[in-house]
Amino acid sequence: MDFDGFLRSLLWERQRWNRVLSSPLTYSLLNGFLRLTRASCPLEAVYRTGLFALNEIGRAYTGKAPVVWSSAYFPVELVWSLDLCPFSPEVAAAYIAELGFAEETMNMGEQAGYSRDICSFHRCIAGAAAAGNLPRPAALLASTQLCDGAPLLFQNLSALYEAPALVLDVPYSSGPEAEHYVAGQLEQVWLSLAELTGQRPDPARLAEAVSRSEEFRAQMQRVNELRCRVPSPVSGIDMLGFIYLFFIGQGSREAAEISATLASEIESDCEAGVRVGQHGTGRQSGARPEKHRLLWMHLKPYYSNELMNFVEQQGAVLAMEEFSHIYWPPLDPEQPFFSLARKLLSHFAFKPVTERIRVMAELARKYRVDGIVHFSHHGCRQASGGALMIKEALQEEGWPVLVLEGDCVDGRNEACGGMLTRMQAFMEILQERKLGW
Amino acid sequence: MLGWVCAYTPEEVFAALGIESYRLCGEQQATAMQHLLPVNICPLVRACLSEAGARNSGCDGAGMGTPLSGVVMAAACPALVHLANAFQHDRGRSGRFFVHLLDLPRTLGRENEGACLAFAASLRDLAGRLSEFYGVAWDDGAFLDAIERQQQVRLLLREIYRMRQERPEQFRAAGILELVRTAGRTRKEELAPLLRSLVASLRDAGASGSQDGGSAAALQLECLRRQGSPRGPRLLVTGSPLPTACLDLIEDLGGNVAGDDLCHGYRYCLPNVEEDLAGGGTDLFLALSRGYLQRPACPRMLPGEARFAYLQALVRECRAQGVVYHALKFCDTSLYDYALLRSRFIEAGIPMLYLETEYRDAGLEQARTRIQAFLELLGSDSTPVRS
Repeated sequence: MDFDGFLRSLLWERQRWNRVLSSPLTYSLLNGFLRLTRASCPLEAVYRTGLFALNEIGRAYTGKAPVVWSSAYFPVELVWSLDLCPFSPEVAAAYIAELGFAEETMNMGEQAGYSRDICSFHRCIAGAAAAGNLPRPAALLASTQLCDGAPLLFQNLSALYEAPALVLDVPYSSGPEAEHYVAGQLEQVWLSLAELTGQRPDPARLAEAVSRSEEFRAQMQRVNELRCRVPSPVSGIDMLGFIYLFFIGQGSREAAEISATLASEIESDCEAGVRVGQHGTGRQSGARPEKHRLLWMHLKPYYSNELMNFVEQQGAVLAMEEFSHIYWPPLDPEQPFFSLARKLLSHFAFKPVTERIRVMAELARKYRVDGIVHFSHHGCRQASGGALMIKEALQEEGWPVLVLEGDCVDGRNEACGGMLTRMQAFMEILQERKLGW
Repeated sequence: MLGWVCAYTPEEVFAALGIESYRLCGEQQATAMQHLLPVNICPLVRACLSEAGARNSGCDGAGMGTPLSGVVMAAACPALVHLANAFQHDRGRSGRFFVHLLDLPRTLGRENEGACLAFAASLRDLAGRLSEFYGVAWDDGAFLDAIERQQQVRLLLREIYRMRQERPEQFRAAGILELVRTAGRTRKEELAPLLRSLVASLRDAGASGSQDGGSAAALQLECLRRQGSPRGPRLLVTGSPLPTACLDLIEDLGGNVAGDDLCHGYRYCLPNVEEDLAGGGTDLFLALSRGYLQRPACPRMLPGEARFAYLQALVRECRAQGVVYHALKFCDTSLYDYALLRSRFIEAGIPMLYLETEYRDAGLEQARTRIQAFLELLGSDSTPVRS
């Protein structure tokens, strides 16, 4: 039985969720199970991320620290600097899908008035919130970059939880005026958050959090440089699992340490000729045969591993993912608000689509990919809205591109067989190109 | 000719530079440029893209008038951002074409001077880029004139809305939306006399529309007038832009639209630029920014509970017996907004009907049944909701 299976067995009945998740015994058991399975983790960094996530979820559910919900791309450095417990409902939704509870949870979201056309992450969160299965927040923090839906959802849930929603309004343009606008809001949010939670806003602690975030940035850049090697030294599917660190960890001691561990591990493996096998299967020695190298855009289905397993079975590797790309400039702990503002303003997908195209083309060249897959999550207007233009532009540059319509959380929206068929056809195209047909 | 969509787009800036503008509403049937956007994105945006594409290629068959030389898209939502992207991307276009994504700050349900300052900067930037592209020098005097003319038009439209609110059974709701759309496509110095004539005609129930403005006013009057029953339920319509055929349907089935909170309707009339701008030292961009942002916020602005408070007040003001909430399929702003409002309206005891359409492919027959049932629920009792 794997970790997910063990957790699923504890949570088999929804009525048990709150009791199980708020019991310290649960986390002792899960920690123990995780330690038992440590040897089978493909990387020590994967194990430590699991441990980190477990500890933070435990802190959130057992009330050890005020819980603050944080939407994707909200600068959680602010949260870590105030010794609060950040909780990512989007990550929780992904995990609910992995455990097989998404359909039931989304049904509750739909009963609460959320249309099936909106993002399934949010429908799942709405359902879990309506059922009282998520840790009660002291505040909800949302950024309008990158996701437009999260601030809208958090506003609604603010009413449900009677907790304030603090929203960062991020403009599409950049430059000094935009930086001033965002930096001013960041400072206001930080001070408001401190007041709401009774914490002391300490500039030194904030500088420390930004410093750790910069360490994370530097180490992940080091990882990304190592990943340029052929064959790929790490499973890109495993790399997608580090999204927890990107969304929740930046600014924490743990994320800085885990990223350093990850970089060192991959570097050692490269030097020793150890290859990482298929995702989740541990280390094996020897060169990994790579039939096709892919650049993967956006996320993946969390309700089923069928698609990603199929990709690997076809001999393809995710040489790089859009979500792993480090796009923001170095952070200066002496200027925390302006640094974080520049980080928010520099995301390539929060600009004219030409910028996202440019960055993807650059990554495709750098990682010597054979093809590009854009996973178009059904409810993600900001990402999938540009997919056809991205495809046209990248194809003009000579890259084979597959726009794969699917859903990250709601398996009801797509038949997996259809996705696999399209992926197979794409692989055949890549193979034909290799053979010069 | 500049194309635009969102009610937060400052026509005054275009007018100040002598640039004509055309509000894209996507009501014509066209399929141009559809390959650039996926099917699961706002149908209004897809329709506007086709409208612009057909207009510029002249292949619409109906003669849509002057081709667009550019578009200004307020970054109100990801769909509009991608609409701007699509215009930028369009490979089939030849010649110069101005594409600008206008940053639009969120007011977050409060008096937000930071947002006003940011929007003023955004407007100033737009003015500079337009001036450069079209080779027209910026003139504060022309800007002031444009602001005043636009404000005049808004005041006249608000008067028509006020009259409609008094006796909705005499007004065709779709006609009012058509009038507002016309306002977004007509030079304000030409429109104002027409509207004044229209207002005068509407005030005088026996007038035949012979005032200045001539046959144009008479035609508009015909589009606005109807003879409904005052006993029909009074309704407030809100949500995302809806096909005007939907409003005709509501009225055909016996309802009376007493008010609306729609981007193609009353929201267009809401901006209130401060008076007496001619005094020296006034930052006209900041005044315009405040005028646009300091008004009852649409759901995109994340107004929180203030939104329901505003709609509740509007229900009272319109003496509405029920609310029709229209959401365009894939319009996230409306879909999330509805989820919150639904519970609020239930708590307040205000009957609400939820309608979802795909805009041009309106699915009117499905809507017919639901509207009919809703109107029957409200009954012929003209007692408004006391909330």
